Amino acid sequence: MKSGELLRKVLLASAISAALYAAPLMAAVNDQDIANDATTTNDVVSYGLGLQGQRFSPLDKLNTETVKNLIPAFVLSYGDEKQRGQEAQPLVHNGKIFVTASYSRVFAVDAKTGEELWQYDHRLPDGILPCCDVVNRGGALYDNLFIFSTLDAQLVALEQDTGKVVWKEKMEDYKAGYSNTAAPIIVNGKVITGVSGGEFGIVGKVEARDAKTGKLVWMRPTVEGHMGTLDGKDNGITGETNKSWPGDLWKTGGAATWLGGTYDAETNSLFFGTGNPAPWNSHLRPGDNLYSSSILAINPDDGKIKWHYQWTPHDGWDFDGVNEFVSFDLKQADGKVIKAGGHADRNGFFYVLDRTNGQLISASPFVNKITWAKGIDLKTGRPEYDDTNRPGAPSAADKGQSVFSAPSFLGGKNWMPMAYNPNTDLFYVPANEWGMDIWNEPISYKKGAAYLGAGFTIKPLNEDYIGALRAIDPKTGKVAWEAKNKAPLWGGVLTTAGNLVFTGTPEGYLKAFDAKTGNELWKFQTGSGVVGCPITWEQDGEQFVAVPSGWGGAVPLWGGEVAKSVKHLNQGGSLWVFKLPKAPS
Amino acid sequence: MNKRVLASLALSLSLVTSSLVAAGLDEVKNKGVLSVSLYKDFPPYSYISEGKQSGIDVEIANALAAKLGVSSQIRLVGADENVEDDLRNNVWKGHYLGGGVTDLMLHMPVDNAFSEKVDKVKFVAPYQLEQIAFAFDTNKVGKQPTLANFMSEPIGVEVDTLSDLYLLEAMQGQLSKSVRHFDSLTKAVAALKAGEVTGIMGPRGELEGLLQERPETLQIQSLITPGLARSNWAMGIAVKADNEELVKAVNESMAALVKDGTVKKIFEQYKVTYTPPATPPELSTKN
Repeated sequence: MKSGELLRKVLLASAISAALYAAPLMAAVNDQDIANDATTTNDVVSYGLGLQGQRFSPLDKLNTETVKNLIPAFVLSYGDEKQRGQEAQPLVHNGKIFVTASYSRVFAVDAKTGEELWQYDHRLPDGILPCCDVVNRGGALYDNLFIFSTLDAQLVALEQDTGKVVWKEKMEDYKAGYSNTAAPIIVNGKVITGVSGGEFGIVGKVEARDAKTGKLVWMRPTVEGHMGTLDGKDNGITGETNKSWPGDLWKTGGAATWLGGTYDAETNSLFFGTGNPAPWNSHLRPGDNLYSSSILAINPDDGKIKWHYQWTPHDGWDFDGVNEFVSFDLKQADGKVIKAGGHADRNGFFYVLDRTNGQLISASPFVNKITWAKGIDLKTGRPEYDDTNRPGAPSAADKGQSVFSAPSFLGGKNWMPMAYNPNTDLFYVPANEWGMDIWNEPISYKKGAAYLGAGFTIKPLNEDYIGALRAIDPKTGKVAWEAKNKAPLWGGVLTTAGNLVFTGTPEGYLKAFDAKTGNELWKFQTGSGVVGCPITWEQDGEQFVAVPSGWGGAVPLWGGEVAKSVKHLNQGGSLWVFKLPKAPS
Repeated sequence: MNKRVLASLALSLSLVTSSLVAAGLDEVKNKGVLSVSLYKDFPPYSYISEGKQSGIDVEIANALAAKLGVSSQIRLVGADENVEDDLRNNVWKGHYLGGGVTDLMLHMPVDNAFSEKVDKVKFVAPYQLEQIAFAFDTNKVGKQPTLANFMSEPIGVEVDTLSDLYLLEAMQGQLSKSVRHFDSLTKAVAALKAGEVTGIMGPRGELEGLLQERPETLQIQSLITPGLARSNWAMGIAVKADNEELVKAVNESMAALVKDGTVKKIFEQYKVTYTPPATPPELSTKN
């Protein structure tokens, strides 16, 4: 029929013109782009290379055969004297690389030429006292915005093309000790964040804001007894008031969500880990102290907690439970697939949970020495404590007994995100082997007044190495291979379908390993310690890899004896970009 | 923010920084300024009142500067996790975010064992003996209460202080349910006045200063505190260790201010009991 054909033509034409119209709008990042990030190879639009946080790229041009040809494409210096830990994961979109840097800075770079497009330096107020270096771990892309959090606890949205501020929201009062360093994530148009800072007196929470405006949608506290909100109205108390805390300690219970979280679309759950409880002395707060040192599965639509699992009930060792929870398919011997999640905790155990309900499937040591517990009981899901190795109560005026505890409070694994490769079915965990002496410190002062603190010294467990990149089989909990490193590992991991694993070292190298065997295949000296997170993407038919370089973070600040062993490492601040050139045709 | 604004900001920061470098005695006299770090929001010692720096430590710093023949420049700083951090941030190294250091910091412990741990600074001129005390409502617990009274009566503390940690485990933990935590003693005092708590445990000077005006039913005194690791400590002045001339000058000037009654008068002005430590500042220093 003529009219039908005409109609089809009109429709076709309008579809074309719609596509043409859409072309300039391609610059905007939408929910679909973020949902597909793990499988699209020409961009990296989320922290974790996909919200599940697997840090796996399906790219395979770069592989065990070709990685020897990986060469630097360009490098960007962050400039000025602000050279401290560069822990960020860059993002790539629409021909631009976005990366955050120490002191709450952001750089946008032309992905082809490496030329800086703009720089945003957040104005930090006087008198902020961040606890653990002035790092930033990355941003989030949404619409035409780049969104990141700052040391003075603000959330800032910049225009991707110009670096101009579109909106800015105060998350918390920096004067009360709050700050923020984690990368936000975007879930269905909401920007989701945690809080950090202020060891004592604060209460952790997870917040969701409208990503386009910064307006708060819901807030969920992480300590039982505190009221959550949704659209400005009360939305139920977290847990049950006073169930696992004495007195009013729940009001100042800690459980900060300072490392942000991941998201799994299949179960529609956010996964946010929580920090240790306060006060540090566990004898003062009998009970489990929920939900400290735990993982919370939260409904992103309304901020309700679906389930929780506590890694370290009644923590007495400063084992933050904030490390990432990575969703993956656990393939069982009978062919059944369980929707699972993997987590390598500060406390030295690698956990696999059923991510639909929080049930413990397995917990295996991923470090060689664990003193605080003999194991995790798979029936009850609880640790079998070794009570002789719990630091004592500080009542006496003397130094008291010193306890040696492993891992140290810096953890079998710290903040640096691991990676999961579905092809090898292995997790790649940047682990550290260290313990700590911990004792009561009677000669201690705080704000000019006598105080009872804890003294500690972190000690390496081996002479020849602290760091160990370990490949862990989630089906058995066994270590498939390890690559040792003299200094503690402090950078994130990336794995690819090219059978590769990338990670950095404080000694300044970005390294590539064979994902199956752990053989080191390639390394490059970046000039300063690599404690950032590598990414990879494809551009004009070539595969690229980028990683920030710049030594810093908590180790030089807190590391005790370990800090001495890394004292010679130079600071820096740059973004290194590598590529595998096209084979000459 | 554009780069030009930043550049000028950086410039102004560096100017501020250059004026906040701990100086030797000659330099202090040459520049005519003694820079001093004091804790902020810390009544009755150092705080802002009606836009003005006020408090006992503020006045002592001013008197000390005047004695040295210079003017004072007071920086009110936040407390870090412990005094070692405060001294690193403010006296001998400077915080890594910038801001530099000052010549002195007041309200610092004078304690031999602590001095051995913190060898980057010298602690001199102890000017007050601070001690742990209780403020309480005599209508509810009488005039001679004991700790046991607070098994059934709420007692306030500033969060994460010696008093807080002590009460949580005192009497085998039997008081822990009565402990009410506040961000600051100022807020705890407001709760005491409002009848929300029956008592407060904290440093005597702070309690007296905050309760300058109080009904007769609110009393401040020491109680018997079994197992309390430290019930008093001397506070003095911290100076960077290699600054020997300044150490000496501070010690001598403070000794003179104690001797002529200036220090006592300052404490009285804020209605805080002046308790000179056993070892007062010395006219000829042995440091």
